[in-house]
Amino acid sequence: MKIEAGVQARLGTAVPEAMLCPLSRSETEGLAFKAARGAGLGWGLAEEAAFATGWLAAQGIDGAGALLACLVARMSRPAAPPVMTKGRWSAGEGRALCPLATGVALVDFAFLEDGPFAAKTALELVHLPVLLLPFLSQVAIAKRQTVRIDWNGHVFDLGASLAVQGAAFAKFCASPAAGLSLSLGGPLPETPVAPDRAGFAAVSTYTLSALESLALRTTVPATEASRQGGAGAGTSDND
Amino acid sequence: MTHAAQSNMTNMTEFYRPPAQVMRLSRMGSAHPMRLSFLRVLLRRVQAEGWQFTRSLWEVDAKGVGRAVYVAKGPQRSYALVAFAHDLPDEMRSDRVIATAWDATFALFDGVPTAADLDRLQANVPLQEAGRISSKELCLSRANRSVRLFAHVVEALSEGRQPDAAEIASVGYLMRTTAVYGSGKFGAADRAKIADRAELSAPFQAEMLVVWLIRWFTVDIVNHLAAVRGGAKAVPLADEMARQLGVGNSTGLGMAPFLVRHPMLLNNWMSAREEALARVRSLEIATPQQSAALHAALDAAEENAAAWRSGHPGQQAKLADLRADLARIRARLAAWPEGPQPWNALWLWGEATLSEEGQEALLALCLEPHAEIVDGLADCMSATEADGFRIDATMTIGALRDLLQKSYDWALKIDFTDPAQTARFWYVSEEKLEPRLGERWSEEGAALEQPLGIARLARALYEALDQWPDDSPIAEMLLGDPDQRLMVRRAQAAARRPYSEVRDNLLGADMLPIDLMRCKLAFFGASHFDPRSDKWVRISLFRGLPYPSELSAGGLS
Repeated sequence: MKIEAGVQARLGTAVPEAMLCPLSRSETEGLAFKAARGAGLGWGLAEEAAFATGWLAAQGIDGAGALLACLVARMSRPAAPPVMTKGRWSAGEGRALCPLATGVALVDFAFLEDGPFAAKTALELVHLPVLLLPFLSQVAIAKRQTVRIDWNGHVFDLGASLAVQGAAFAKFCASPAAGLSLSLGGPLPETPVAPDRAGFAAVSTYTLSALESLALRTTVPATEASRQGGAGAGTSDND
Repeated sequence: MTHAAQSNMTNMTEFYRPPAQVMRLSRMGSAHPMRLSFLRVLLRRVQAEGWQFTRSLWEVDAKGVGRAVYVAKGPQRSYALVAFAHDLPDEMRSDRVIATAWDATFALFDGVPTAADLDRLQANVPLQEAGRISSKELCLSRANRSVRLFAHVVEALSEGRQPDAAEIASVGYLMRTTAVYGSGKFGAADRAKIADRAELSAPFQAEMLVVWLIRWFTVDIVNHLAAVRGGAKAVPLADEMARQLGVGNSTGLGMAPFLVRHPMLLNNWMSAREEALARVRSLEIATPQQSAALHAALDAAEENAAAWRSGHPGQQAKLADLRADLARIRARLAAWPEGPQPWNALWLWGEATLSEEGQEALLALCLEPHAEIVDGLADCMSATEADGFRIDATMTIGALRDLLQKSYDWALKIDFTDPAQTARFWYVSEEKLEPRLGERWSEEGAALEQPLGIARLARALYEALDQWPDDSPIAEMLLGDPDQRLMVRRAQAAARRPYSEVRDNLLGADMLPIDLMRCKLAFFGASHFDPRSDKWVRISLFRGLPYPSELSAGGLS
């Protein structure tokens, strides 16, 4: 599906075509993985950040931009795991929940007795809630039920993708990060995923260079010794 | 995976090799190409489906600079190799990933390209990593000449004679690729675009098609240059000479981590091959036709082993083992088949008698006569790594401990307090963003280690479990210790996929990266594995096999 320009604007992603880099999904996810690791996330959580970024981009949403904002926030103040009480998750101390830490925890706890989907669960304040959607989609697929997102009187049912959710999704993106609550909705509708790149979100040159510089933090500068000891070094290929 | 009909009659379990035997580095580093290798899968399909191959464009000047298009037309779709030929000065020729120019560059186009597509590709493909391709392209590749053989062949043909057969045999290719990128690299189409197409659903089929069409191009370019130089005197390369030429490939450490990063794919490759072996071992008889096919395969293997050269001491020792073992197999076959389950008898004899090199060669030989029970397994070799992505966080700490004890017993036995067991570390170089292997105790950078030391990660997870009560769900641990997510995910996937882990320490002082590379390259169908060091190899693809033009002309077996 195409997200209309207005939604892109509300996501802060309406940038001129010339400043957009069309990456493949594997490039998008590879970049997200390395940047998340470079920003200090564990390898496993970095894999999940990559999945979330690729999933959003496949829906036409600038997941890379959202990830960058999330990583920057985490670098200025490390994210704490969600504090879970029955029916209410919060970050404590008036902070906002990190959507990555919260997203993976929602999936992890979804199948436990008294898990977050056993009854309605309120998320007190979530930074960048759009980044929760890939994880909620995982819950929906595993539970074979949509995940219902309530906020300020609006309702948005998420399934395997955003394919049939254009208008409700636009409202979700336009709303603040407070007062979200989650529960299970109806049976999961069939939503075939288009494998083509049509509709795949491009990455802005700004986001690309910022994520690339985070990704570079995972690499080791060369030394003369490592160059000499590298694969293929010291031999001629003119034979 | 479905078993063949005979499994109803026989208990199959005794015929499977356990992962503890199969998944050791030294054995993986003895792997041979076989019926299920990906280039064989491609050739079987294009032959069975009667694909048509045409060179639709040849715009190459007297210096050998220009472009060409080769179209492969299948029953449903066409694919085109777009080739750019360059005039590369010797001082710029490097097979390493740090190179910036090549003798020829290529893209595989999804369909038949328009003139506008060709112009777009001409502006990007010669730049390789520094250019961009699009979702209309499936692969990006480049190749360098084998300088000596290429010059010899052009010179001979231009003077109206065929090149020296011994020269052809000693090198085996006119050009060697130094990378074949697919799956979304540099803007190319993602795997998802082609994963559901019958002709590309098996692993690396697009990449194999690229290399096969490049082989055709390498013959065309020498014929072209010989004609330019020799004029009316020049002759084209004879078919029997061309048949002895494959496409070379130079590869370094970039390939080594692949099998570790794709555990589900590794599992499916290995499972398919082991299933094939088990099916053959379970057969009650060997028919005369099968016996003849085995002998023919042995003849070909001996010929191949005789022509196989390497300057690497380790590989020379393995080649000596291989040649001696092939002779032993020949002697053993003098009194074969006999008794019940002759294939199993042959196999058990091999396990008791032959080196690992010889055993893995015997495996390839045993599969050769059995197209009907082996070839269908090629459909089971793909994998979507995302299938094992979601962690089952309801599993208890105690159950995860049991799982690790069962599936990672090999890892838990390693003594990581011994510095030799953590002597190496894998990292990515800032210069080229490529995998490298460092020496932990003498080089900088171990803090930026990549998560490829799976044995040590398993050990760390195993120890971390002690902080948590046995009956608590791992969701609790993952909340407090998210750094364990990678290994938890991997272990849960491995529990259901017995061949997904290389059961050796990839950080050990004595680990040889070329063992990982040989295993992967054997699954591609590579022959003439020739390590130039412990981290760098050359191989040959399609050597001795038909050309696309031969298949279009009526088919060859």
